[in-house]
Amino acid sequence: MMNNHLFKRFSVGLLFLWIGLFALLPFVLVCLASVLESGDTNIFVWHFTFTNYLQLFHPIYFKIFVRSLYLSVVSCSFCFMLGYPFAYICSRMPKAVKPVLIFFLMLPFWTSTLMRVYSIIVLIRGEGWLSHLLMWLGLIHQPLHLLFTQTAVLIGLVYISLPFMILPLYANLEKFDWRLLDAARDLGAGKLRILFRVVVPITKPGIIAGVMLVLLPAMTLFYVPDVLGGAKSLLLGNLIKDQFFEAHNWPFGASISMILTILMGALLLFYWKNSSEENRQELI
Amino acid sequence: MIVRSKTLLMKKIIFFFLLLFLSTAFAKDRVLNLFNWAHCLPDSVLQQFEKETGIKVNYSVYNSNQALYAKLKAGFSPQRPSAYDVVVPSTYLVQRLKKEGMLQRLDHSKIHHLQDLDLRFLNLPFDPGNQYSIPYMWLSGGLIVSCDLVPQINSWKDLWNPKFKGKIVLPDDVRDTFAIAFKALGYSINDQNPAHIKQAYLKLKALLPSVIAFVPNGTFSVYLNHEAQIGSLLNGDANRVIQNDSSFCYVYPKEGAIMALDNLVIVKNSPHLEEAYEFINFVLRPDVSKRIFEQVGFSIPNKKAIQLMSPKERANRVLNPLPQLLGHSETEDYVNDATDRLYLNYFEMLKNG
Repeated sequence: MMNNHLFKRFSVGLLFLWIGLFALLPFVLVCLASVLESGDTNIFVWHFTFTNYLQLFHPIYFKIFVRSLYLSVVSCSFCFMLGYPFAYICSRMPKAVKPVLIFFLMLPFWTSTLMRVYSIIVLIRGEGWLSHLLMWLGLIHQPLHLLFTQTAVLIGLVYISLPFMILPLYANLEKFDWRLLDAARDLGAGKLRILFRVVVPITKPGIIAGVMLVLLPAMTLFYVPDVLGGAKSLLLGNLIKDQFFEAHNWPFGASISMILTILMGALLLFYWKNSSEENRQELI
Repeated sequence: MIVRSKTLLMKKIIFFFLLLFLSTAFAKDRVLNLFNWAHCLPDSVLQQFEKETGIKVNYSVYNSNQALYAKLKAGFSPQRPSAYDVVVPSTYLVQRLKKEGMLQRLDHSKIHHLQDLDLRFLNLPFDPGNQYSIPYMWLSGGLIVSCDLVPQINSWKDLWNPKFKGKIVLPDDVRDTFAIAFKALGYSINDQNPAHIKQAYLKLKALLPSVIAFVPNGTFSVYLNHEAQIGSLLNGDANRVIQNDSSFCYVYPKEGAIMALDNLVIVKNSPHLEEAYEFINFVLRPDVSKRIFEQVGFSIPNKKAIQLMSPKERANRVLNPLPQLLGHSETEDYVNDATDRLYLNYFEMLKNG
């Protein structure tokens, strides 16, 4: 028994050490870096300042932020529109089929995301499969002009984020008490009414969880516009990367990523305030 | 009893892992920590070096000068031995590292074969007298062009021909892209005058409707897939495209190419100085240099090695251009941080419309 206790303490301790060392400490360092000045020959100068944050209000950074937010809001909505029906249908499938569907959802994670983004090029380029298929079907007469456009960026963002939307929705719908539908029907509710007045409100925690996993992370997927969009538009992630690598301005880069963290924190807080105790358990 | 044997086993496992970690730290073999461009040193050359000298090489690679600088800088301290011994930065990064006191001044008496190098690549403005760096390989940014368009293109200015709308690819690199505009405007590619930089930005903005994408240096799939017909590409990469698809030609624009030169340097406080010199001497050997050329496919600044090449290799005008074609070429030199950030600001404005 004694040994079991020790093992428990050891494993929990290890976990805390791991998080402290590789999540908390880097976060504190980034936080610290964001209020320092960048030097000419050193990365940092020990001089406290808030100019890094004020710089963010420069019109071009604001524009990039708005554009970035727009792209992630649009891709998040697409994820929701595709993900919700999928999760719904999946949760109503027979018990034997469910694991298979979830397995196929997880399958892409076995390959590197970057590799999968590159392989999208093969599909959507002018002489690619999609273009050939559509031409063969007679739907288009010119090669497809999709690669290096904003649409291609959206396709990439939706593709990467979709599982992160589906999984929490599915987890939520799985536990849904389907007898409630019968009750609603008995009380005279129509199909649409049942969906919007019964199913959606009850699965709200799943929806919020999905949105949180997609909305802000989508803003940081800098390689998607680089690879699929021909680097012609910038996400917040590109901005952070540029500040670290191109401009050698680590403090400014750190302040941009702090803003992202603060936004994420605000979303979490909003969720916390608007959910009950038991719903929270589900998210975690 | 069971409990005790379990903890004993645990101890044994922990001990084993500790031993595994420490064994790498206490190894006394001769070692060289080499950090180089990806795909710029063939495995066989590395193995030959290890076999001939008995030095174990810890080899790691990077894809951009920015990545090299970030890693080097983050781990550098003037008091401690450096993590890398030999690295291979391009011109402007050599200058930056030199300025920040991160390079070891080279002892030329320890370097053989210096006289074999082409004078055109020695004593350049970024490192006068080659006090800190020795050229390793060179690349020229010129234009890869679909051969049927060649009669219409011999200058950087020709890119602005409205006929080429939706045909052009630019490098996704701040300095490389601005260099094109500077060349077209007749300025130096290292111009630091804010008014000129703004002019270059406006010039690039006018080019934007013709640009289908900004791609990282070394991307050639856009040409092989016929997504683009014209692009600024390094000669080594262009050579590879042309070998795969002979409908492409390479043009050295008349205002001069944008020269990229990668240089061997020794990092300050290198704990393996002897081994570093041995490595530099090894890759400068004409026979080794020629093998690097053949397997990597980038141009080399080694005259003796070029003499060793087959007539066919020597006649490759993409990789070994006639001297007059490189006449007005410039290397990208260091500009201060403020100017660097100005470039970046304009580049971000350009991309974000």
